[in-house]
Amino acid sequence: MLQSAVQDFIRIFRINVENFGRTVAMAKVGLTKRYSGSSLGVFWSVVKPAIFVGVFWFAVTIGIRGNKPVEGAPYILWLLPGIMAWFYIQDALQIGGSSVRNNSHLVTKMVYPVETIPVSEVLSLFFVHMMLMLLVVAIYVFTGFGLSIYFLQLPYYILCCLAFSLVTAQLLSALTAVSSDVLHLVKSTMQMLLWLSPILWSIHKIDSSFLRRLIMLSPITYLVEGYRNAFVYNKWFFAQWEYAAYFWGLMIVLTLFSSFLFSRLQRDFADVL
Amino acid sequence: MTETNTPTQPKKNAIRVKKLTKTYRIYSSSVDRALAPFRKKDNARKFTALKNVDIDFPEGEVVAILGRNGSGKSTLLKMITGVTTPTSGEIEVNGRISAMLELTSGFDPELTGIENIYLRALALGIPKEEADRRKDEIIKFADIGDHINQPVRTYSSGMKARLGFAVSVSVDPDILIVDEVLAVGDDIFKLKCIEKMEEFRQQGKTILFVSHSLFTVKAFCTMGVWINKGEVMEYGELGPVVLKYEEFLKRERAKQREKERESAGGEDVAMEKKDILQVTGFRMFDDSGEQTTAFSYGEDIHFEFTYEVKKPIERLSFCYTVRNAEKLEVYMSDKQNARNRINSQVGKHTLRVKLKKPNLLQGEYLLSGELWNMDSTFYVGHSNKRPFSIIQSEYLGTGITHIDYEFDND
Repeated sequence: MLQSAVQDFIRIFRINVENFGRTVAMAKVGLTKRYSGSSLGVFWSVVKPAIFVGVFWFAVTIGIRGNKPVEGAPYILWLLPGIMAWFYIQDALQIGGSSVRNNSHLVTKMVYPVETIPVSEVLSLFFVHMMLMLLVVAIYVFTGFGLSIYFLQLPYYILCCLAFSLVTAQLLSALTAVSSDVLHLVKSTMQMLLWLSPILWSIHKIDSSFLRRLIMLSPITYLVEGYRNAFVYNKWFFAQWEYAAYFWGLMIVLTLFSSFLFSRLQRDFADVL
Repeated sequence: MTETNTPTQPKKNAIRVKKLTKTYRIYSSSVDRALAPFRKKDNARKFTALKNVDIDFPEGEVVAILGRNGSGKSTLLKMITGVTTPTSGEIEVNGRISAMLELTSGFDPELTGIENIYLRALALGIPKEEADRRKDEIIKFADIGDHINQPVRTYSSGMKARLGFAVSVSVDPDILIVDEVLAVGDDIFKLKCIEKMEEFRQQGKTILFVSHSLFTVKAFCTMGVWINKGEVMEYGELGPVVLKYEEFLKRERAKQREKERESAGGEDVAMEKKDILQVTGFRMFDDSGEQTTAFSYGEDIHFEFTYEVKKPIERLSFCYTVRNAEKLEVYMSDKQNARNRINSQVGKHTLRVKLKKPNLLQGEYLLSGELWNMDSTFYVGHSNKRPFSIIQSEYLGTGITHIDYEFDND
């Protein structure tokens, strides 16, 4: 099974390399399509998270805890990098995770490399993510909080985030394509994931080291904490090399697993969609 | 119509299908399908859509693919285009395929026609420059005017079909697969499609054509394949194949009727109507008893016929309808009225009916009517739109019937 999974991964990887130009072009179309017909266009992809952050910031700072800083940064500045990572992960799981089903016409009506569909969806979401991160950087600069040398490691964490998104989107898109039950399962898990991950609250507030380690098992924790490393924690990623090794180890296992599953389920796509 | 296939120089095959089998796996729940890769034993039910199909499609032929719904036609085409993979067997395709598998559904409804042209090109892996070159040609062929700049969701089904066909033929395919597309467009568009396909045929391209319209098939195709329940029943020159297929359809229809009759009720219904009741000798005549179908205005109209009751029928009664020449109902007798009961004893009877001074104006009329058993499970017509005419000597106004009137005036 392991050997076959490696072969599956190589096959999917090769198809994606061969068709990369087309994948990027499809990602662009996907981006314009999502907001076509609305007068604000792509601007909506900024408005949606902005409203969420604004409302949440209002509820927390005015309502719950007062404007106490977290880890040396104002709550809003602490919140922003983590929640941006989350928004991307959430879309990758939800939109990327149902990409094959949503693009069924590519599967059932023409000959199209199905292996590239989740990739182009994740890439299209990645454009938006980059735009939002630019905005976050601008906020840090304009509020005078500023950026430190640790900011230089952001590309590394973005890469981690991209890898995680690609793998999970591939895995989930295959499962949701053949089973709509999985689609509903993914959708209903999202709220749970948001509150169980240290996104809106700080993991460093947890006293129980067992509980903290349990939460750290989730790759989402690694990504959210990583974004904060670059902006507010002032911590290098190689200072936590064991955690990085764990994350990438998990990624490799997940990649092989999802390649195996995608390849097995792929031949059913055209028959069930 | 049929191109001669010279035996000395056999044609190359555009498509070779060898021992092709497609089995669909049906799971009781979708979760079972998702978990199937991890199971040792497959718990799916199998449905075989195609069994061991062997066909060679020679170059330059227009091959009609015949078969009833669910016979496996679409499955075959899907595998030839590569949309879905065979369970076993081989397909060898020489040349570029353009398929119109339900050509109206491949569009993105939110994008405009133009954007969809580019999207389709992109999805099919056609370079942007080539798409630019082909765009104008597509727009011209589709001929849907300014709608090309509107989102496809606003299109009518005919417009979608036009655009779909235009896009599909624009890639200059060697093999064209046309799957029941001509069903949507209007006649002008159909003609245009046929012309385009004719052009392809003359260029020596291969066309696989699926249509339920045997008329179009006969007019256009050179070869035929008849598929039934996943198996090739007949393959070869069009004429004999269509003949066999039509015979099959007739047999199936007869079977269908038989079944309906059986399910409709007991043995009485299964019997021919004429074994129960038979009507003979219908005639119309005037007051003097002379047979005629031309009556003067205001005259009584008589008709009579003989009916033979061969098996007892309860509550046998008669009814009649008079229509004008435009089939508009002038009068229909009360079908439920017990007054219209007639003798239903076994044996021959005669029924004479007098229509008393109908004030019908000059013109052609039609008489219809039935004998029936009042619960509408059994009826036999005594006349079906039998024409008769009214001749008028004095002018009384226009319309269907004369409404007599008087008036006061001070």
